[in-house]
Amino acid sequence: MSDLVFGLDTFGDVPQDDSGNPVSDAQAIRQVVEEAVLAEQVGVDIIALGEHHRPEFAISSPETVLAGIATRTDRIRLGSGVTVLSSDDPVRVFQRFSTVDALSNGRAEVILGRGSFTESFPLFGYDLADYDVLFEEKIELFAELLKEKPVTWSGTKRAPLEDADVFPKTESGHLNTWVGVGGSPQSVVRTARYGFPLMIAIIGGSPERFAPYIDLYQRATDKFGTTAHPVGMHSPGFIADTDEEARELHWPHYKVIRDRIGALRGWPPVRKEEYEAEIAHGSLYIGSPETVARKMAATLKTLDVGRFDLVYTTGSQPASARLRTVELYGTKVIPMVRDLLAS
Amino acid sequence: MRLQREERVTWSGKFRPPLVEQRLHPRMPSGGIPTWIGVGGTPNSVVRAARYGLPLMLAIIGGRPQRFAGHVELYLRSLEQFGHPGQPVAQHSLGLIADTDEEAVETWWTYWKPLVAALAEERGFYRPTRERYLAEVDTGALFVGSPETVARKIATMARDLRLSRFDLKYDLIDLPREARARSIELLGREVAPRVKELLTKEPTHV
Repeated sequence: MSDLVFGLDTFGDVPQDDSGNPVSDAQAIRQVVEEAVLAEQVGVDIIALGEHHRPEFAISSPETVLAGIATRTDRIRLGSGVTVLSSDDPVRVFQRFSTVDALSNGRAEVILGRGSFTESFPLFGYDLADYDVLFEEKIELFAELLKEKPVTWSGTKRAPLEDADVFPKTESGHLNTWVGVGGSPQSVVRTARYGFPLMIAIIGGSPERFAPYIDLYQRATDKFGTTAHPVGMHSPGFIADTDEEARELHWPHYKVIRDRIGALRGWPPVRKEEYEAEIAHGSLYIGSPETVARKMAATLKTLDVGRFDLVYTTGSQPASARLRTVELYGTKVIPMVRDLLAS
Repeated sequence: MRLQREERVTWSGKFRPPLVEQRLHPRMPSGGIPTWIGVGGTPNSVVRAARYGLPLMLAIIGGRPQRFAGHVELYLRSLEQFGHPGQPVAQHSLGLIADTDEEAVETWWTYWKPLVAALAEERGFYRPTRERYLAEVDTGALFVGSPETVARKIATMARDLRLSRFDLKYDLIDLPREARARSIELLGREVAPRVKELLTKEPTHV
C-alpha cells in the first residue's frame, strides 16, 4: 500500500478572510498557489484544480493556475480535476497542458470530464443537447493528440484536422491523462475502452456503493484489452485540530453553497443531521486528523483504489483554516492512513 | 473589449455564439487589464485600434521602420477623431546585442541566414545576401550590434515613430542560449538606460 497516492483538490472556492469578508477572485487564486506550495512542503503527492464558471469558484482555467504553481514547486504533481473537455477544444487543452508539463518538468496531468455544471456550454457556445456526442468526439480526438504525431481526424462537432502537428510536444512523449466520472456506468466503460486511468468523484453517500464501478472498469479493460490503471477517488473533507473545530469551521459555509447549488438541482436545504450522518457513514471526511485518517483508511480498505484526493474546500471556509487543513492532511493524516493500512 | 469593460455582457455576432447577461469569473480589476492591438501594416487595423482607444504595437520585421511613420500619424489622428485620449505606440523588431558590433553581426548572420533562406524557399521571395543583411542592420528593421549601436538605433526609432515602448524579439531558431542571455543582460543593463539618456538629451526629432 506504500504506492498509494494522496492528493488535494479544489475548485478555487472564494474563501473568507479573518473578518468574515469574501476575498477577491484574484486573492482566491493566489490562495490556491500558497496552498499548493504548502501541500508540497508537507508531502502531498498531487494537487488537482477543477474548472468552473460560477461566482463561488475562482478557477475557470486550471492550467493557468497550475503554470503559476509549477514555477514555485519541484515535486508535487499538477492536475486538473476536471477539465470540461466537452466545451473546450482538445487541441488547445493538449497545448495548454503540454506547456504546464514543460514548466513543471513533466509533472502535469489532466483529468478529462463532462463536468457536473453546465455554465460552460452557453458561455462557449455549445448546445447542452450535444452533451454526450461532444464528449465522445472530443475524447476520441484527444486520445489521438496524445500520440504526439500529426493527427488526421474528423467529427460532427469540431472542424476536421488533416495531418495537423500540434506543439509543444512533451519531453516524455506522454501527457498523463485521466477521465473523471460521477457515477455513469457508460462513462466508466468509455474510460476503459481508451485505457485511461479512472477518477471517481464520490461526493455523497457510502463509498462502498462505488465498488461495482471499479469492478466494471477492471472487467471492461479486460474485455477491451486495454490497461487497467489504479483507480482514483475524490471526496470532500476538512481537517482541524479537533472534530468540533472542524465542523464549526466547515458547516456554515458548506450549508450556504450546498443549498445554493441544491436549489438549482431541486434538492431540499441540507439539515445538520444529514451533515452529521454524511460525516459518520457517508463521504464527508471532516474532523481531527485522527478521525479523517480512520475514515480514509476504512474507505481505502473497502475500495480497490490507488489514489485518494481530498477536496479540501466546499464553500467559503476561511483562508487560514484551509491552510491548516492542507498542513494537517500532509503532516498527520497521510502518515496515519499509511500506518493504519499497514497494520 | 466589452467583456473587459462591462459587468454583464449581452452580445451577438456572426462568428461566435451569442452571450446573454454573461458575467465572467474570475473577475478582472475594474476596467480590465492592459490590452494592445498588434498590427503588421494594415491601415484598417490601425484605425480599428484607434476606434477602441487601445494602444498600438507595430511589428516591424523588415525594411526601413520609418515607413511606419504614416501609420503612426494615421493612428494618432484617428484616436483624436474617435474622441479617445492619446495612447502609447510600440515597436517590436528582431535583434541581438553583443559586446561589439562585429560579434553581434556575425553571430546573428550565422543563424539568420539559413532561416531566411528556408523562408525564401517556402514563400518564394529572394534569398538573403550579405549586402541586404548589412543594409537591414544599418537602416532596416534588424537591431543587431553593440549596446551603443542598438541604443542609438532604438532612440532614432523612438523619435521618428513616437514610440513609448520598444520590444526586442531576442530569440531565433538555434541561436545559442548564451547569446540570448547576453542580449537580455545588455538590453537591461546598458541599452535601456542609454536610450533613455539619449532621448532626454535630444528629446525632439530634428
